[in-house]
Amino acid sequence: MHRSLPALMLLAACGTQAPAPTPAPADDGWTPRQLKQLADLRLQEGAFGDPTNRFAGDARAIELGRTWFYDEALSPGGFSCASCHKPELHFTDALPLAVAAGTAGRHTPTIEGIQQGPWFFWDGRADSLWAQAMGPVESDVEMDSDRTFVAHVIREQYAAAYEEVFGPLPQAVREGDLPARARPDAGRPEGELHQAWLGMTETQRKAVTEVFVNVSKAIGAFELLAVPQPAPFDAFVDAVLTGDPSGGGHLSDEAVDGLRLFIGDANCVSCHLGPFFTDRAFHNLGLPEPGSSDFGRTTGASRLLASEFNCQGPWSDATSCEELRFLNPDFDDFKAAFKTPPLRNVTKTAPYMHFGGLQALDDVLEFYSELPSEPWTGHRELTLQPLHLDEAQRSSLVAFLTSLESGVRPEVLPVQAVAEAPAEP
Amino acid sequence: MMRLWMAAVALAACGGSQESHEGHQGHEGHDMAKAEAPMQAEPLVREVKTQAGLYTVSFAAEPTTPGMGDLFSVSATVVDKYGNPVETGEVLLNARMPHHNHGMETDPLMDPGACDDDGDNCRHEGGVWKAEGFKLHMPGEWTVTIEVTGALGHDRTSFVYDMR
Repeated sequence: MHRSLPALMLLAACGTQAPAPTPAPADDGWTPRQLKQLADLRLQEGAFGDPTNRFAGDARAIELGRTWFYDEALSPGGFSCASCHKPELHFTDALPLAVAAGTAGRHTPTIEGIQQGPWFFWDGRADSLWAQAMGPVESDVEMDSDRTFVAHVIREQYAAAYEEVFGPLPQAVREGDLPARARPDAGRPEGELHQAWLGMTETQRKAVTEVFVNVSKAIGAFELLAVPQPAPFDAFVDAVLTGDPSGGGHLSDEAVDGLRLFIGDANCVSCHLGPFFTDRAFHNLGLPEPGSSDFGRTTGASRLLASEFNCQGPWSDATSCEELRFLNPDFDDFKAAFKTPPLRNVTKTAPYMHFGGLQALDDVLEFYSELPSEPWTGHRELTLQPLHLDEAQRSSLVAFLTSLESGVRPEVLPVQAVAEAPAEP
Repeated sequence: MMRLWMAAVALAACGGSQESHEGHQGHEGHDMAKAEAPMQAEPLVREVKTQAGLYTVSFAAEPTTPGMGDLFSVSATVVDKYGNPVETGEVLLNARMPHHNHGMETDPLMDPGACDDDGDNCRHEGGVWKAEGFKLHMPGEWTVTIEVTGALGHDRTSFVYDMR
């Protein structure tokens, strides 16, 4: 019996010992438990909403969000969301750490398969897609823009389209004498941007923030559409669930071996669960990060609770915020813990992990095989055990993950790209 | 609402000693090699006696079978060994994963019950104590702990729940 493989990103089976093997069905078919697991992993139909965003589902807001997601005019340096979230790379950038106006401290995560929330960013410091979208705009190593600059762009380039969706631009933005650039920057209170922000009136600050929130809500509404498309794995599951244990030939034998490992002895599904293959939770893997000082979720939870843009904040449209209400920022296992990433199209989004330090999936599997490093703080998930995977097992897991590949939805591509796309044969 | 008490040391000891499993039904632990474990978790509903036999607790989740990673509420109906409901005092509810040495990632809230205008002299009608904000975010064995301080004194119990 080979040892269990933990979740690709994460855990082995629960408990402090290796999990018991999953008994192989006598007829080489699928047990009721496995069928339930397959059904849970299958992509589900249906649109995602966002109670904090009253523009979620609004077609006009979505179209504006699509425009702004790709619009480099929203930052002085010519960066857009898509500078790092490149659609041709499934909204990643193939770099270890995000590089735009500067170099960020973490790897660019995909926006595909994150729509379930409830937490966003590697550290969960936002609890809505729109609040997440604000962060990179005002990060000086990402878009290096600011809400006042954005308000100017909206007034000068998008006033009519904005007002059609969100109502009249605030008077302080439409007519006011705003500084060219300004934003709150508690980290550099003596900096020009923060000082300019302090020099604005309260009315101006509120008006600029209102526009920035609406722009972000449009982008958030757009990002709700970035759901992975059905993959060969889903067709395989459909066939299995309708009585064909071979899965209709949609997966190779090697991929099926990988799938059985994934949901069986390896128990990857312990954390990579649901239609997007993520438990949406945070875990400390003890990754090889020499010199790291990244507290991950510990910092993220505190920042979220302090944010005026959280679910309970004045800019949220939610009437209930249960997840935030019960969030415990002092949870000890939040130390150096990061969110479990989704796995659909994972074969196309190298490198891996929050620090982008593992170049290929095989490196990820090697990490779980050996667990060579120790966490810089906190402790590794106690469920993790070295796996000692052989080459065939690694290969089968990669083959299975390849079956999760699908194309990017046309509705989240830039308009120009859709227009220029070759017609389907 | 008051923040639920979290006595990490005491609870860790409790979970490690597996002190009370009254009412725990169908727990397979890790002995799953011979028969495939059920895919679905069982209802999180138990009737348990406290260690010293002072109280009996009927514990129930709402919904009765919580989903992994989903928020849910719990209630504990507490009667003393003479059958009298425990309406005043203190009841503390918690859940931990002793094998993982951690508790819930949420900070549940205990319903204070019916109190006077100053928020004092709270009473839990019928001995029903409720808490919101439970979340079992990982599969595996969770130890649910119940601490009761009533007219007969302090007593405690725990049981194991297998989230899957």
